[in-house]
Amino acid sequence: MNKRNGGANQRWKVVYVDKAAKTETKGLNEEFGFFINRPFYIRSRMPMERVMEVHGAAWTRLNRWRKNVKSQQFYFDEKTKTVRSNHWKNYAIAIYSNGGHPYISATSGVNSRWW
Amino acid sequence: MFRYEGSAIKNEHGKILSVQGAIDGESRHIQCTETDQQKPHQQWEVVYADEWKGEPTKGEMNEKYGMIVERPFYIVSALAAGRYLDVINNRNMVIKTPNGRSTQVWYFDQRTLTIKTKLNNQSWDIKSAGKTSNL
Repeated sequence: MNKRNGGANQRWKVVYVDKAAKTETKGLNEEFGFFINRPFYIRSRMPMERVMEVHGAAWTRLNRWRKNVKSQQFYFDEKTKTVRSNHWKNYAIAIYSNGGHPYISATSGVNSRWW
Repeated sequence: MFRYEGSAIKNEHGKILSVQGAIDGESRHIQCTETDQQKPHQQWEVVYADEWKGEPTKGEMNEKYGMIVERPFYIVSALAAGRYLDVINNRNMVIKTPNGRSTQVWYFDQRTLTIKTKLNNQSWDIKSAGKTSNL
């Protein structure tokens, strides 16, 4: 418990279960620009058109497209609003070390808020 | 949380997905930068897997490059004699009268996105990393 400061960290909304909106499982999330749960490639616009790939559930790298390689596919998870690996489905892409490092990695430690 | 905006993928702090060193190389790291330079190394396309049939394979047209993958071809000069592009000394390109040799046969390689010679499967390249006018 803390003194009231009016900040978002102290504001709450009571949502009755019978009124709560269900989490969407398909369709476009217009705010984030991704279709929900629909696997996609993140393809570079550089000449070789390589795609982003997760290596060993850790670092992300640029590689040539390979057929049906799920570590090159991602999907948007509506519940957590994260982009997740289609191979390691509980891993979302994040900036390594909570934003303290430039590399993008896949991490299983993503909760409701991250860098 | 990342958003796809235009051709950029950025988070709520304005950090933008970027290729390390702006180099279009195999296994380059993906990183986040704070400056949106709107250059190709920071530009991405989200391509849905069910819509993308993949890269063209042997015998199929690569629309972007205008060539059929791995289908041998000659390159004929528009000069009056209609000579063919040829390789001499295993590396230097010249025009020569058609002679039926593999030094005059070329193909488009999808893996490297380059034109290669049938002679020794080497790709076209500008000499001295592009600093000269010779091929």
